[in-house]
Amino acid sequence: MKDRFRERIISGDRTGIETLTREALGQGVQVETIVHQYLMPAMEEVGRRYEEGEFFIPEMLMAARTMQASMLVLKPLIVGSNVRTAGRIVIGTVEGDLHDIGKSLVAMMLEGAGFEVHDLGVDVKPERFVETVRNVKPCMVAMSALLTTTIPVMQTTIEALKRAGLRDSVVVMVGGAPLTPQYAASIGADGYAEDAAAAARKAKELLDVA
Amino acid sequence: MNPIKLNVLTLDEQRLIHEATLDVLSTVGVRVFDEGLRALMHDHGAQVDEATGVVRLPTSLVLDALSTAPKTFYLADRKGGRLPIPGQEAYIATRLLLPNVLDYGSEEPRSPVTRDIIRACQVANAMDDVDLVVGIDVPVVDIKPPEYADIISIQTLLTYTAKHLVCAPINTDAMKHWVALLKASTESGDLTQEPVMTVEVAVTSPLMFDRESSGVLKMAAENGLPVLTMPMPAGGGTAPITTAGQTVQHNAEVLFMIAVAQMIRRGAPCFYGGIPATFDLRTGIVTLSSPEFPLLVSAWQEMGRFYGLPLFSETKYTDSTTLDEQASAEKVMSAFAALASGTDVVYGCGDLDNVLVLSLEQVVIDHDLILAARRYVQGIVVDKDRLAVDVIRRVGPGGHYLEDEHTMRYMRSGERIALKSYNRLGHRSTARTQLEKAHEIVEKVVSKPAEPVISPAAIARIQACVEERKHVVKLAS
Repeated sequence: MKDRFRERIISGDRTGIETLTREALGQGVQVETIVHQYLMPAMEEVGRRYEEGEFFIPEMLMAARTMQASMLVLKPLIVGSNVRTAGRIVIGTVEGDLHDIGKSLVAMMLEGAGFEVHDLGVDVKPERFVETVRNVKPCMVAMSALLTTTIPVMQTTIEALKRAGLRDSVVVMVGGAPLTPQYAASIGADGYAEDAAAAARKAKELLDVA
Repeated sequence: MNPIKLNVLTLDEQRLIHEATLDVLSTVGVRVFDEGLRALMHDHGAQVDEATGVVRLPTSLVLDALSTAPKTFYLADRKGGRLPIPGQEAYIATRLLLPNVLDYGSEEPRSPVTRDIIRACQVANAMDDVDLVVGIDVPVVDIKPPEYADIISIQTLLTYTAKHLVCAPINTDAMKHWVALLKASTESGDLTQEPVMTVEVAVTSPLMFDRESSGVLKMAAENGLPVLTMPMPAGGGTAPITTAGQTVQHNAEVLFMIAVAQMIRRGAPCFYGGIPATFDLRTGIVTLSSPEFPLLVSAWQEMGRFYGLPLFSETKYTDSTTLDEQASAEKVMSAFAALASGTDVVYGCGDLDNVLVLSLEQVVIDHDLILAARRYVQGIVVDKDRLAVDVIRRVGPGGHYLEDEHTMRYMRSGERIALKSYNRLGHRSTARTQLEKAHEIVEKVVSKPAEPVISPAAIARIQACVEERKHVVKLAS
């Protein structure tokens, strides 16, 4: 069963994994077994192949979408089970910036790493980040910007979290082409990642997740 | 003489790309975020879906825009000079400011200060064959309060160089500063008569035109400032991975902006430009100098030529963070591709690390490599005098040409060019690397005291305008 899940994930077989997930549940396999013993190790294998240059991003994304398809089947059963997500993350591209792809890629990688991700999209005002943090209570806020002119908005958003008394309740990670680790530190972010794969690793490190 | 015009696409292939573009514009469209612009486009016959903000352009509208976008126009400098577009050969544009500066001998770049603008202006001014300078709206970090930094940066640019400017104002507030200060910098105050800046505007790929970009394009077209259409579709991420598909989407994004410019002001001058980025599917990073980059530079310049539009090539990017072999190799390929494809302007000496870092030494090196590539593209003049049969007869077997009047006559005519940063002395040279030589050249220029290059009257007008703009910023905050 474990191998069959692994095969579906690696080949990006979304329909196949839905069927397989229902089959596993029908056979009495526990939800937490499916998530932690079948899906997560398969994603780790995908991650390994990506790190070694065997898989490219589209294959990573397909694998992540396949895992999501299985999770969707499991979702109604997850509440009350022993399934642990790695943590809850709110992510968005900051106000004034429409660039979506980098942020979406990071969101997918974070989900693939087992995080529950709330993607706010693009052009996200600081107030919306604050409101979402208040309602959703994530452990991390991740912000993306591509334009040199919108990266200052990251600082504005961090200030807004401070004013709302929420800054200490979250770890803030930032990324995007014009960013540097020095800039990230200077605006009071807790972490920075240079690309989407590094973002998933950094999130685990910052949130102290295995 | 047969000036080189490289073709990577056949005419039939260009037509197919054109037809595919019309298909995309009329059936897929562009999402336009500015409701005022959508209304204007609707009035001009575009199909507007208010629920999604997507605007589709019927073929007739696109073809009409292509017929009114001028095939020739001119750029003005601020000394009364005019650059006809197209010119006799490609013009060269060099950079003045980027988000980071790499000093000679440093390993790490730093943030720019006012002095960096002035030094870059000095270097650009010292290059007689550089006609355009590229500013960028990244405020320097030593102006207090920081709210005035972009205004003072513009003021500095306008004071220390009078060459034609190319700039990408990042939003409508910045564009208002630019328009006001540019008007103050000119004698007439009328930018339609003195188009002293080319304005870069971009659709966000794929196929989205945001509010601020709409505002900037509108102000550029209204003021008669040439629009440089500069989308940056990244193949594999924000554009199709195939070079043909990326070309189609890019073409659609450029023609869309040209159509918008024509709706705002019929006959608004536009350049066909664009940056063929790549979404690296291994790293998830958008790069600006993949091996496909020069190929696409050529293809895109050809599409611009297909429409008869003036061409502006965004080239000379590198992913390298230092002045190394990769930087040179990438820059040479793209500059050569652009020039050989008939570009009217070669853009961007001096940048490193995906246009995040400026190095003055790189400005010098890039300038030289463009000159070298441009020399190739100039071709060979073959006429009776240059065939030199009479000269060969005169000098005869075993003679020499050093003192012949033919040599004297042609030695400074452009048959030969000199590249200042290249080592032609081999082991005899005191500066052994090109970098060291480039640094010597930079130092020679920037060690002289910097002087404003515009008149006291212009300085006063600009200063008065700066005070007004500061007031506007203060009121807004």
